[in-house]
Amino acid sequence: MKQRIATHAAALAVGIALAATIARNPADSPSNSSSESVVIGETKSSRTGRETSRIGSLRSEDFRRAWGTLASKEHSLGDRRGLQLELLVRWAEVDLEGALQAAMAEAWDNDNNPGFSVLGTAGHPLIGAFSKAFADRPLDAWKLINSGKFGVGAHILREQWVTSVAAKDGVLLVSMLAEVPPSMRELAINRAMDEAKTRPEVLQAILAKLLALPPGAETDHWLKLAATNLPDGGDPVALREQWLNSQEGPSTTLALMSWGASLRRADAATLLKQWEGIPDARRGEAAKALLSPMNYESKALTTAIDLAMQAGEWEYLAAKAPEQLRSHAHHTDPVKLAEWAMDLPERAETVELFHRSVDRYIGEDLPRAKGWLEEMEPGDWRRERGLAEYSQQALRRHQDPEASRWALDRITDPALKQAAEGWRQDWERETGKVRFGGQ
Amino acid sequence: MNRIRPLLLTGLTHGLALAAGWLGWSRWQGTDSKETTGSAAAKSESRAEAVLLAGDEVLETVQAASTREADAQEAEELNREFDRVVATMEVPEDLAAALSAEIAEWLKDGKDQRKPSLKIMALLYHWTALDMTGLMKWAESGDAESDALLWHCIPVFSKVAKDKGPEVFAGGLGGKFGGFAIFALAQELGSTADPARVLALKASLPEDRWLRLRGQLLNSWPFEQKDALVELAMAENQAAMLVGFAGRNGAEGTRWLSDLMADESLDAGFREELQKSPGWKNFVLNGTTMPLDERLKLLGAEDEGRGRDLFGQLAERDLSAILKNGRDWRHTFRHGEADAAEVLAAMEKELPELAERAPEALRNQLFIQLSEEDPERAMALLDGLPEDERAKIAIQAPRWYFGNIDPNHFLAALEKVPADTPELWDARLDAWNNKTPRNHARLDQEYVAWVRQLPPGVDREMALFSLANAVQAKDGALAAELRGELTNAALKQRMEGGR
Repeated sequence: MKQRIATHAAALAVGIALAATIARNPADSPSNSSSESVVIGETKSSRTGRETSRIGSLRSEDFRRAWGTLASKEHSLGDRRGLQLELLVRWAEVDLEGALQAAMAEAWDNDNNPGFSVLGTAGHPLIGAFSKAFADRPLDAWKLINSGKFGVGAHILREQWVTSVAAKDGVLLVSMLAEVPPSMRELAINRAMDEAKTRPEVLQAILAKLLALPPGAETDHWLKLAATNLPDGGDPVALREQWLNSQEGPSTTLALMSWGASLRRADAATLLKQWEGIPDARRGEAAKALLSPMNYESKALTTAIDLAMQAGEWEYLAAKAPEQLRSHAHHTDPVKLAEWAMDLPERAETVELFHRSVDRYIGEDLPRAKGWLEEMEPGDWRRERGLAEYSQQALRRHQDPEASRWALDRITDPALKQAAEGWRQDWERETGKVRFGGQ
Repeated sequence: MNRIRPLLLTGLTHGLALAAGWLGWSRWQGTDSKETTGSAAAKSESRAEAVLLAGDEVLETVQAASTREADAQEAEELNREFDRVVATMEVPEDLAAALSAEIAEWLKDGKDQRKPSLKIMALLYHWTALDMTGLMKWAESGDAESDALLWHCIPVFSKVAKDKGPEVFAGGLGGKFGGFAIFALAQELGSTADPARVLALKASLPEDRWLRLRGQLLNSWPFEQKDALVELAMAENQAAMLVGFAGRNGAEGTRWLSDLMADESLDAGFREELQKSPGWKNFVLNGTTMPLDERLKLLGAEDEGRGRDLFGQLAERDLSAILKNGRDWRHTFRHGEADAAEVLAAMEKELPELAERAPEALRNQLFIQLSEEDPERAMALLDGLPEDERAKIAIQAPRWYFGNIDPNHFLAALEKVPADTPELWDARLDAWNNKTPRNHARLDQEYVAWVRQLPPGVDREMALFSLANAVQAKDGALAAELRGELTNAALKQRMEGGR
C-alpha cells in the first residue's frame, strides 16, 4: 500500500510539473517536448521555528564558505547541484550579486545531458535558482545584470530574468521592452502574452502598453508578435471589416492580427471564403496575419502557406513556415503532407518547406520513401532534396549508414551532394565514429 | 540548415521527474515570499553579532530548511484528500458548467502562484470515467479549458486508470491531450506488468497511439517482472524493448540481458534480432560493469580494425558514467581540491581493465573532461609527452567538446596549443568554427563584444572569421563589419573565396 501511494503521489507531482512546463510553452505537446525544464525558486517556510531563525541569520560570507566547502565533499553531480540550488535561492535573498557571481563561476554546461538546454536559462544548470529573486526584485536584478559585472555571461542571466518576470508581471516586462536586447524581445513578448492568455485584464493591459508606444515600424512589429498569442475566438467577418475600414496605425494592426488569430483553427474552406473578401492590395498583409498565429492545432496551415505564396510573401514564408511545418507534421497525415509538398514551386524559399513536409513521411518508412523517390525523374529538384533528406533520416532516425549511402550516391547536383555529405560527417562525428580515429 | 535535430527526449527521465516534482510541490504550496523579500539584506546585517558558522554548518542549516521531504509528505496528504473529494462528491448533472465555475475561480491567481484545485480534479475524474471523448472535446474548446486540463490531468488520469481500468480511455487518446492519457495509462499498465492486459488494449488503439504507449511502458515496468516483459517483447517481436529495459536498470539490467543473450532456451532468431536492434551497440558501449573483453567481443565484429577508436569510445562512455553517478570529480578539480593526477588515479581504480589495456585512451578522455573545468591545470596530464603529440591531443578538447562552456575557458584551452603547423592551424580554425554559432546564439551581443575585445593574434582573427560566418545569414551588416576587422591574409582570402 505504501508503495502504491508513493507512485500515485509521484505521478501527481510529475503531472503538475509537466503541466506547468507545458503551460509555459504550449506549442510543445508532450510528444515533441524537447527541453528539460528545471525551475527552482520558490522556497517555503521551514518546518520549525529554530531553523527559520538560523537560516534567517545566515550572511553572504556564510554562504560563500558553504559554497567552497562543497568542493571537498564526495557528492555526486546531482547531489552537489541540488545543494547548490538550495544555497543559491537562500543566498540570493541576502546578496544577489554574490550568489550570481558564484553561480556564474561554475560550469555553464549541463553535464547530465550535454547539448540539452534547460528551459529559460539558456542552458545554464544553476540559473533557475534565481527565478524568485528576479521576479521579486525585477528592477534591482535588471540593473545588476546590466552592470557589466558578468561579462560575456550576462546574456544568460537576461534570459532567466525575462522568463521570471514574465511569469509574475508581464505588464512591467513589456513596459521595459526597449531595454531588453532586440534579440530577446520576441521571447519577452511571447512569454508575457502566454502567461496572460487566460487573464483577459492582463492581456488588455499588455496590449494597451504596446498601443501607447509611438507609432512606427518597431511598434508595429512588437504588436504583431504580441498578437500572435491572442486567444482564438471572435467573429472573423466582423474583425475583417473592422480592419479593412480602419485608419493606419497601431489599432489597425491590432484589428488585422485579431482577425488572423480568430482563424487559427479554422478549416481550409473558411479560410478561402475569408480570403475572397480581401482586396488584392491588402492580401500580402492578410496572408502574414493568417499564417503568423498558426500552430500545431491549425489544420489549414498548408492552405495558409498556399495563400502566402499566392500573395508573393516569399521572404516571410522562408523565415516562418519551416518551424510551423515541423510541428504540423507531427499532427497530420504524413502522406497528405508529402503530396502537398510535391506541388511546391522550385525556389530558394521553398527548399526548407519541402524538407519539413517530407521528413516524417521518409523517416517513418524508408522502403516506402525509396519507392517514392525512385519514381521521380532523376535530377528533379524534389527527388534531389528528398534523397538528401532520406540520407539524414537513415542516419539520425535509423542509424543506417548504408541506406544513407544509397541516397547520397543518387544526388546529381554536386553542391547539394557536398552539403549532404557534410551533414553525414556531422553525424559521424557526433556519434563518435571519427574522433580519435585520426584527424 | 536542413539538418534534422538529434532525436529528442520522448519521455520523462528519472532526474527530470524529481526536479519537476520539486517544482510541482513548491508551486502547490505557494511561498512565504512576504517574509523573505525586500528587507532581508538589512535584516541579516543587523544580526552582525551572529556566531560565525563553518561551511558544514551552513550546509546543514540549508538542508534542514529544505522543503523536499515535507513536500513528499504533503504529496501523500493531498493524494488522500483527492481520493476523499472524489469519493464524497455528488457528481453534477452538467459537468461542463460545474467545471467552468470552478475554473473561473481557479484562474483568479496568476500562473506563478496558481495551485491545483482538488475540485477541478475531482470533476475531471468523474468526466473521464463517464465520457472520455466528450471531455477531450471540451478541453480543446478554449485556453482556460486547456489550461485547466493541462494542470490537473496526469493525477486524474492515473487515478481513473487505476480505479476504472484502462478501457475507459479508448475513445479519448487522439487529439491534443491524448498524449497525457497515454502517459498515465502506460504508467498504470507498466506497473501492473501484465502482458495479456496490455495486448488486450492494443486491439482498441490506433497504430501510432499503440506505439507510443508501448514505448512508455518501460518507464514503470518493475525489474522483478522482467520475464513478463520478455513475454510481451516476444509477442510483439520487439527485441529492442529489452535493450531499453536493461539500460534503465543499471548493472543489474546489464547482467540480466547478457545472461539472456547466452540463454539457449530462448529463440535464436529473437536473440539475433536483439543484437541487430538499434540500441544494442549503445547498450554494450554503456555497459560499464560488463567485462571489457566481453564488450570488445560484442562490438568487435562490427568494428574490427578500429580497436583504438573503440577504446576511445569506451573510455568516453565509462568516464562520463562514473563522473556523473560517482563522485563529482570535475567539480572537485575545478575548485582546486584535487589535481589532475589524483583524478586520474581515482579513475584508474574505478576502471582497472581499461587503465591496463588502454591507458592512453583513458588519459586522453579524462584530459578532455578536466580541460573543460580548468584548461591550465588539466595540461599536467600530458606532461612528458613529445610536444607534437601533446598538441595533437590537447586540440581535440576545444575542437570536438567544450559545448556550452564559458568562451574564456575555450580560449584558455586553445592558448595551450601552438598553431605552428598547417594541421594545427586548420584544427584550431575548425575549433572556432565549431563553437562560434552556438556561443553566439546563446550569448548574443555579449559574444560579439567579447570577440572584439580579444587581443590581436591568431585567436582574435579566427574568432572574427567564424563569427562573421555565423551571423552572415541573419545580420549581413554585422558580418561585413567583422570581416573588415580581419587582418590575417589567409583568413581574408578564405572569406572572399566564400568558404
